[in-house]
Amino acid sequence: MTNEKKVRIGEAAKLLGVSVQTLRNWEKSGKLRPERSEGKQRFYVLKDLNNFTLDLKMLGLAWATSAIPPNLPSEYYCERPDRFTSRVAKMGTELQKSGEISEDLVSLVTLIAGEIGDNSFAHNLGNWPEIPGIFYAYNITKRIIVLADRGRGVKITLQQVRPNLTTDVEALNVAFTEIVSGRNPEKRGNGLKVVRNIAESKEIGLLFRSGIGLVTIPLHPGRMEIKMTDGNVPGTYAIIQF
Amino acid sequence: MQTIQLKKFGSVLVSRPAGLEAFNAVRPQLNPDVPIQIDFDQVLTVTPSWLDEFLTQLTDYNGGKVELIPTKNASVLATLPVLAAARKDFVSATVLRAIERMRE
Repeated sequence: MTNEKKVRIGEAAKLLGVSVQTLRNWEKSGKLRPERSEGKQRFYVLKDLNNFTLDLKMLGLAWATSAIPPNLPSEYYCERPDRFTSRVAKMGTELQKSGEISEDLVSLVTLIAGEIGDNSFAHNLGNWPEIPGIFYAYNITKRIIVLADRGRGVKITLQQVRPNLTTDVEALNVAFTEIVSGRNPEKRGNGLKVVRNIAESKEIGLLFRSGIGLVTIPLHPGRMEIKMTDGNVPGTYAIIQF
Repeated sequence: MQTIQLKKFGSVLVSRPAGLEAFNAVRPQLNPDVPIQIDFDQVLTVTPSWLDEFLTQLTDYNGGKVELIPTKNASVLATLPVLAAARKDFVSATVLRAIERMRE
Protein backbone atom coordinates (compact mmCIF):
# COMPACT_ATOMS: atom_id res chain seq x y z
CA MET A 1 0.00 0.00 0.00
CA THR A 2 1.45 3.42 -0.93
CA ASN A 3 1.85 5.65 2.03
CA GLU A 4 0.95 8.80 0.10
CA LYS A 5 -2.44 7.37 -0.78
CA LYS A 6 -5.33 9.53 0.37
CA VAL A 7 -8.46 8.14 1.95
CA ARG A 8 -11.77 9.63 2.99
CA ILE A 9 -12.96 9.84 6.56
CA GLY A 10 -15.01 6.61 6.45
CA GLU A 11 -12.06 4.59 5.18
CA ALA A 12 -9.70 6.28 7.66
CA ALA A 13 -12.07 5.37 10.51
CA LYS A 14 -12.08 1.74 9.40
CA LEU A 15 -8.31 1.57 9.14
CA LEU A 16 -7.89 2.99 12.63
CA GLY A 17 -10.69 0.89 14.11
CA VAL A 18 -12.58 3.95 15.40
CA SER A 19 -15.84 5.62 14.43
CA VAL A 20 -16.23 8.52 12.03
CA GLN A 21 -17.50 10.59 14.96
CA THR A 22 -14.29 9.90 16.88
CA LEU A 23 -12.26 11.15 13.93
CA ARG A 24 -14.36 14.32 13.89
CA ASN A 25 -13.77 14.74 17.62
CA TRP A 26 -10.06 14.20 17.11
CA GLU A 27 -10.09 16.83 14.40
CA LYS A 28 -11.80 19.34 16.71
CA SER A 29 -9.38 18.66 19.54
CA GLY A 30 -6.41 18.78 17.17
CA LYS A 31 -5.41 15.20 17.96
CA LEU A 32 -5.54 14.13 14.32
CA ARG A 33 -6.24 16.72 11.64
CA PRO A 34 -7.25 15.73 8.13
CA GLU A 35 -6.25 17.68 5.08
CA ARG A 36 -8.76 19.36 2.79
CA SER A 37 -9.08 19.05 -0.95
CA GLU A 38 -9.76 22.08 -3.09
CA GLY A 39 -13.43 21.21 -2.88
CA LYS A 40 -13.02 21.38 0.94
CA GLN A 41 -13.53 17.66 1.34
CA ARG A 42 -11.66 16.00 4.22
CA PHE A 43 -9.04 13.41 3.39
CA TYR A 44 -6.37 11.62 5.33
CA VAL A 45 -2.96 10.62 4.04
CA LEU A 46 -2.17 6.98 4.84
CA LYS A 47 1.32 7.89 6.02
CA ASP A 48 -0.17 10.20 8.65
CA LEU A 49 -2.53 7.48 9.81
CA ASN A 50 0.37 5.06 10.17
CA ASN A 51 2.34 7.54 12.22
CA PHE A 52 -0.66 8.32 14.34
CA THR A 53 -1.10 4.70 15.33
CA LEU A 54 2.50 4.03 16.17
CA ASP A 55 1.62 4.34 19.81
CA LEU A 56 -1.06 1.63 20.10
CA LYS A 57 1.44 -0.66 21.79
CA MET A 58 2.49 2.09 24.20
CA LEU A 59 -1.09 3.05 24.97
CA GLY A 60 -1.97 -0.58 25.73
CA LEU A 61 1.08 -0.98 27.91
CA ALA A 62 0.22 2.22 29.75
CA TRP A 63 -3.26 0.86 30.35
CA ALA A 64 -1.82 -2.38 31.71
CA THR A 65 0.90 -0.91 33.90
CA SER A 66 0.25 2.71 34.94
CA ALA A 67 -0.80 3.39 38.51
CA ILE A 68 -3.26 5.91 37.12
CA PRO A 69 -4.71 4.55 33.88
CA PRO A 70 -4.62 6.83 30.83
CA ASN A 71 -7.83 8.20 29.35
CA LEU A 72 -8.77 5.95 26.45
CA PRO A 73 -10.88 6.75 23.41
CA SER A 74 -14.11 4.80 23.94
CA GLU A 75 -13.31 2.67 20.89
CA TYR A 76 -10.30 1.22 22.66
CA TYR A 77 -12.02 0.39 25.91
CA CYS A 78 -14.43 -2.50 26.43
CA GLU A 79 -15.84 -2.37 29.92
CA ARG A 80 -18.03 -5.42 29.48
CA PRO A 81 -17.67 -8.69 27.55
CA ASP A 82 -20.61 -8.03 25.22
CA ARG A 83 -18.95 -4.87 23.95
CA PHE A 84 -15.73 -6.78 23.38
CA THR A 85 -17.53 -9.57 21.55
CA SER A 86 -19.26 -7.19 19.17
CA ARG A 87 -16.02 -5.32 18.48
CA VAL A 88 -14.16 -8.56 17.71
CA ALA A 89 -16.91 -9.49 15.26
CA LYS A 90 -16.59 -6.05 13.67
CA MET A 91 -12.83 -6.48 13.37
CA GLY A 92 -13.29 -9.87 11.69
CA THR A 93 -15.62 -8.35 9.13
CA GLU A 94 -13.27 -5.44 8.48
CA LEU A 95 -10.32 -7.79 8.05
CA GLN A 96 -12.34 -9.82 5.56
CA LYS A 97 -13.36 -6.72 3.63
CA SER A 98 -9.82 -5.35 3.54
CA GLY A 99 -8.99 -8.18 1.14
CA GLU A 100 -5.37 -8.02 2.26
CA ILE A 101 -5.18 -11.32 4.10
CA SER A 102 -6.55 -14.76 3.40
CA GLU A 103 -9.89 -15.91 4.81
CA ASP A 104 -8.08 -18.57 6.86
CA LEU A 105 -5.76 -16.03 8.44
CA VAL A 106 -8.69 -13.72 9.22
CA SER A 107 -10.46 -16.61 10.92
CA LEU A 108 -7.40 -17.49 13.02
CA VAL A 109 -6.37 -13.95 13.96
CA THR A 110 -9.95 -13.28 15.06
CA LEU A 111 -9.91 -16.48 17.13
CA ILE A 112 -6.71 -15.41 18.90
CA ALA A 113 -7.95 -11.91 19.69
CA GLY A 114 -11.33 -13.28 20.78
CA GLU A 115 -9.86 -15.91 23.05
CA ILE A 116 -7.28 -13.66 24.74
CA GLY A 117 -9.74 -10.82 25.31
CA ASP A 118 -12.45 -13.15 26.55
CA ASN A 119 -10.00 -14.75 28.99
CA SER A 120 -9.49 -11.35 30.60
CA PHE A 121 -13.20 -11.18 31.37
CA ALA A 122 -13.67 -14.84 32.30
CA HIS A 123 -10.75 -14.88 34.73
CA ASN A 124 -11.50 -11.60 36.45
CA LEU A 125 -15.26 -11.80 36.72
CA GLY A 126 -16.19 -10.38 40.12
CA ASN A 127 -12.50 -9.99 40.99
CA TRP A 128 -11.30 -6.93 39.11
CA PRO A 129 -8.84 -5.21 41.48
CA GLU A 130 -10.05 -1.74 40.48
CA ILE A 131 -11.07 -0.93 36.89
CA PRO A 132 -12.95 -3.67 35.02
CA GLY A 133 -12.68 -4.26 31.32
CA ILE A 134 -9.97 -4.34 28.70
CA PHE A 135 -8.00 -2.20 26.31
CA TYR A 136 -8.60 -3.53 22.80
CA ALA A 137 -7.26 -1.76 19.73
CA TYR A 138 -6.21 -2.80 16.27
CA ASN A 139 -4.77 -1.35 13.11
CA ILE A 140 -5.49 -3.29 9.96
CA THR A 141 -2.93 -1.39 7.88
CA LYS A 142 -0.19 -2.14 10.36
CA ARG A 143 -1.52 -5.66 10.98
CA ILE A 144 -1.47 -5.34 14.72
CA ILE A 145 -3.89 -6.01 17.57
CA VAL A 146 -3.23 -4.92 21.16
CA LEU A 147 -5.10 -6.19 24.21
CA ALA A 148 -4.49 -5.33 27.86
CA ASP A 149 -6.26 -5.64 31.18
CA ARG A 150 -5.78 -4.39 34.72
CA GLY A 151 -6.89 -7.69 36.21
CA ARG A 152 -5.24 -10.16 38.57
CA GLY A 153 -2.86 -11.73 36.09
CA VAL A 154 -2.28 -15.33 35.06
CA LYS A 155 -0.39 -16.52 38.15
CA ILE A 156 -3.01 -15.49 40.70
CA THR A 157 -5.80 -16.87 38.52
CA LEU A 158 -4.09 -20.22 38.10
CA GLN A 159 -3.05 -20.48 41.75
CA GLN A 160 -6.70 -21.18 42.50
CA VAL A 161 -6.30 -24.57 40.85
CA ARG A 162 -2.51 -24.92 41.12
CA PRO A 163 -1.65 -23.55 44.59
CA ASN A 164 1.97 -24.62 44.18
CA LEU A 165 2.66 -22.29 41.29
CA THR A 166 5.28 -19.80 42.44
CA THR A 167 6.51 -17.84 39.42
CA ASP A 168 4.94 -16.00 36.52
CA VAL A 169 7.03 -18.00 34.05
CA GLU A 170 5.72 -21.24 35.53
CA ALA A 171 2.16 -19.91 35.37
CA LEU A 172 2.47 -18.88 31.72
CA ASN A 173 3.94 -22.25 30.90
CA VAL A 174 0.91 -23.97 32.43
CA ALA A 175 -1.50 -21.57 30.71
CA PHE A 176 -0.04 -22.08 27.24
CA THR A 177 0.90 -25.74 27.41
CA GLU A 178 -1.25 -27.62 29.93
CA ILE A 179 -4.95 -28.19 29.84
CA VAL A 180 -6.16 -26.59 33.01
CA SER A 181 -8.80 -24.16 34.10
CA GLY A 182 -8.77 -21.35 36.59
CA ARG A 183 -12.41 -22.17 37.21
CA ASN A 184 -12.01 -25.68 38.56
CA PRO A 185 -13.67 -28.16 38.93
CA GLU A 186 -14.86 -27.54 35.38
CA LYS A 187 -12.54 -29.39 33.03
CA ARG A 188 -11.99 -26.39 30.82
CA GLY A 189 -9.38 -23.92 29.78
CA ASN A 190 -7.78 -24.98 26.54
CA GLY A 191 -8.08 -21.72 24.60
CA LEU A 192 -4.50 -20.56 25.06
CA LYS A 193 -3.22 -23.95 23.88
CA VAL A 194 -5.12 -23.44 20.64
CA VAL A 195 -3.73 -19.90 20.42
CA ARG A 196 -0.21 -21.23 20.81
CA ASN A 197 -0.67 -23.98 18.19
CA ILE A 198 -1.98 -21.47 15.68
CA ALA A 199 0.66 -18.80 16.27
CA GLU A 200 3.48 -21.38 16.14
CA SER A 201 2.33 -22.79 12.82
CA LYS A 202 1.01 -19.73 10.93
CA GLU A 203 2.21 -16.25 9.99
CA ILE A 204 1.03 -14.83 13.28
CA GLY A 205 3.26 -13.37 15.99
CA LEU A 206 2.34 -13.14 19.65
CA LEU A 207 3.77 -11.28 22.61
CA PHE A 208 1.99 -11.96 25.89
CA ARG A 209 3.00 -10.57 29.27
CA SER A 210 1.71 -11.19 32.78
CA GLY A 211 3.60 -10.38 35.98
CA ILE A 212 7.25 -10.53 35.02
CA GLY A 213 6.65 -13.39 32.60
CA LEU A 214 6.93 -12.97 28.84
CA VAL A 215 5.67 -15.30 26.11
CA THR A 216 6.87 -14.73 22.56
CA ILE A 217 5.99 -16.55 19.35
CA PRO A 218 7.67 -15.26 16.18
CA LEU A 219 5.69 -13.84 13.26
CA HIS A 220 7.00 -16.51 10.93
CA PRO A 221 6.23 -20.06 12.05
CA GLY A 222 8.44 -20.96 14.99
CA ARG A 223 8.46 -22.13 18.59
CA MET A 224 7.12 -20.34 21.61
CA GLU A 225 9.57 -19.04 24.23
CA ILE A 226 8.73 -18.16 27.80
CA LYS A 227 11.09 -16.14 29.98
CA MET A 228 11.35 -13.45 32.63
CA THR A 229 11.35 -9.85 31.56
CA ASP A 230 11.86 -6.41 33.06
CA GLY A 231 8.85 -4.59 34.38
CA ASN A 232 5.72 -5.94 35.98
CA VAL A 233 2.34 -6.25 34.26
CA PRO A 234 -0.16 -6.89 37.07
CA GLY A 235 -2.85 -8.11 34.65
CA THR A 236 -2.11 -9.15 31.08
CA TYR A 237 -0.82 -7.45 27.95
CA ALA A 238 -0.83 -8.96 24.47
CA ILE A 239 0.31 -7.93 21.00
CA ILE A 240 -0.82 -9.96 18.00
CA GLN A 241 0.89 -9.34 14.64
CA PHE A 242 0.00 -10.86 11.32
CA MET B 1 -31.26 -35.73 11.75
CA GLN B 2 -31.64 -32.14 12.94
CA THR B 3 -29.23 -29.47 11.68
CA ILE B 4 -28.05 -26.44 13.64
CA GLN B 5 -26.67 -23.70 11.42
CA LEU B 6 -24.23 -21.78 13.55
CA LYS B 7 -24.43 -18.75 11.27
CA LYS B 8 -27.75 -18.02 12.98
CA PHE B 9 -25.74 -16.94 16.02
CA GLY B 10 -23.41 -14.64 14.11
CA SER B 11 -20.28 -14.91 12.03
CA VAL B 12 -17.86 -14.54 14.95
CA LEU B 13 -18.65 -16.74 17.94
CA VAL B 14 -16.68 -15.76 21.03
CA SER B 15 -16.89 -16.68 24.73
CA ARG B 16 -18.27 -19.42 26.91
CA PRO B 17 -21.33 -17.45 28.12
CA ALA B 18 -22.28 -16.77 24.48
CA GLY B 19 -21.95 -20.50 23.70
CA LEU B 20 -24.31 -21.28 26.57
CA GLU B 21 -26.72 -18.60 25.43
CA ALA B 22 -26.75 -20.04 21.92
CA PHE B 23 -27.54 -23.50 23.29
CA ASN B 24 -30.36 -22.13 25.44
CA ALA B 25 -31.78 -20.33 22.41
CA VAL B 26 -31.82 -23.42 20.21
CA ARG B 27 -32.83 -26.00 22.83
CA PRO B 28 -36.63 -25.50 22.60
CA GLN B 29 -36.48 -26.47 18.92
CA LEU B 30 -34.50 -29.65 19.51
CA ASN B 31 -35.76 -33.18 19.91
CA PRO B 32 -33.38 -34.97 22.30
CA ASP B 33 -34.05 -38.32 20.65
CA VAL B 34 -32.97 -37.23 17.19
CA PRO B 35 -29.25 -36.88 16.30
CA ILE B 36 -28.00 -33.35 15.69
CA GLN B 37 -25.53 -32.14 13.10
CA ILE B 38 -23.69 -28.83 13.31
CA ASP B 39 -23.12 -26.75 10.23
CA PHE B 40 -20.25 -24.20 10.29
CA ASP B 41 -21.09 -22.78 6.87
CA GLN B 42 -20.70 -18.96 6.63
CA VAL B 43 -19.15 -18.68 10.07
CA LEU B 44 -15.88 -16.75 10.09
CA THR B 45 -14.53 -17.70 13.51
CA VAL B 46 -15.46 -19.93 16.41
CA THR B 47 -13.27 -19.67 19.51
CA PRO B 48 -12.37 -22.76 21.57
CA SER B 49 -14.34 -21.41 24.55
CA TRP B 50 -17.54 -20.96 22.55
CA LEU B 51 -17.30 -24.32 20.83
CA ASP B 52 -16.40 -26.21 24.00
CA GLU B 53 -19.36 -24.76 25.87
CA PHE B 54 -21.82 -25.24 23.03
CA LEU B 55 -20.77 -28.85 22.40
CA THR B 56 -20.72 -29.67 26.10
CA GLN B 57 -24.30 -28.46 26.53
CA LEU B 58 -25.51 -30.13 23.36
CA THR B 59 -23.92 -33.53 24.00
CA ASP B 60 -25.12 -33.51 27.61
CA TYR B 61 -28.61 -32.75 26.36
CA ASN B 62 -28.93 -35.65 23.95
CA GLY B 63 -26.40 -38.18 25.20
CA GLY B 64 -23.69 -37.47 22.64
CA LYS B 65 -25.70 -37.83 19.43
CA VAL B 66 -23.95 -34.84 17.87
CA GLU B 67 -21.99 -34.75 14.63
CA LEU B 68 -20.00 -31.94 13.04
CA ILE B 69 -20.48 -31.43 9.31
CA PRO B 70 -17.02 -31.49 7.67
CA THR B 71 -15.71 -27.96 7.27
CA LYS B 72 -12.69 -26.06 6.00
CA ASN B 73 -13.16 -23.30 8.58
CA ALA B 74 -9.63 -22.61 9.87
CA SER B 75 -10.71 -21.72 13.41
CA VAL B 76 -12.66 -24.96 13.75
CA LEU B 77 -9.83 -27.05 12.33
CA ALA B 78 -7.39 -25.44 14.79
CA THR B 79 -9.69 -25.97 17.76
CA LEU B 80 -10.81 -29.59 17.26
CA PRO B 81 -7.53 -31.42 18.03
CA VAL B 82 -7.14 -29.57 21.34
CA LEU B 83 -10.77 -30.18 22.30
CA ALA B 84 -10.37 -33.87 21.51
CA ALA B 85 -7.26 -34.08 23.68
CA ALA B 86 -8.75 -32.03 26.49
CA ARG B 87 -11.98 -33.90 26.93
CA LYS B 88 -12.69 -37.51 27.80
CA ASP B 89 -16.43 -37.52 27.29
CA PHE B 90 -19.15 -37.12 24.66
CA VAL B 91 -17.49 -33.96 23.34
CA SER B 92 -14.26 -35.77 22.70
CA ALA B 93 -16.10 -38.61 20.93
CA THR B 94 -18.02 -36.17 18.72
CA VAL B 95 -14.86 -34.26 17.84
CA LEU B 96 -12.82 -37.39 17.10
CA ARG B 97 -15.52 -38.70 14.76
CA ALA B 98 -15.49 -35.35 12.92
CA ILE B 99 -11.70 -35.32 12.60
CA GLU B 100 -11.79 -38.87 11.29
CA ARG B 101 -14.43 -38.02 8.66
CA MET B 102 -12.53 -34.97 7.50
CA ARG B 103 -9.41 -37.08 6.96
CA GLU B 104 -11.28 -39.39 4.59
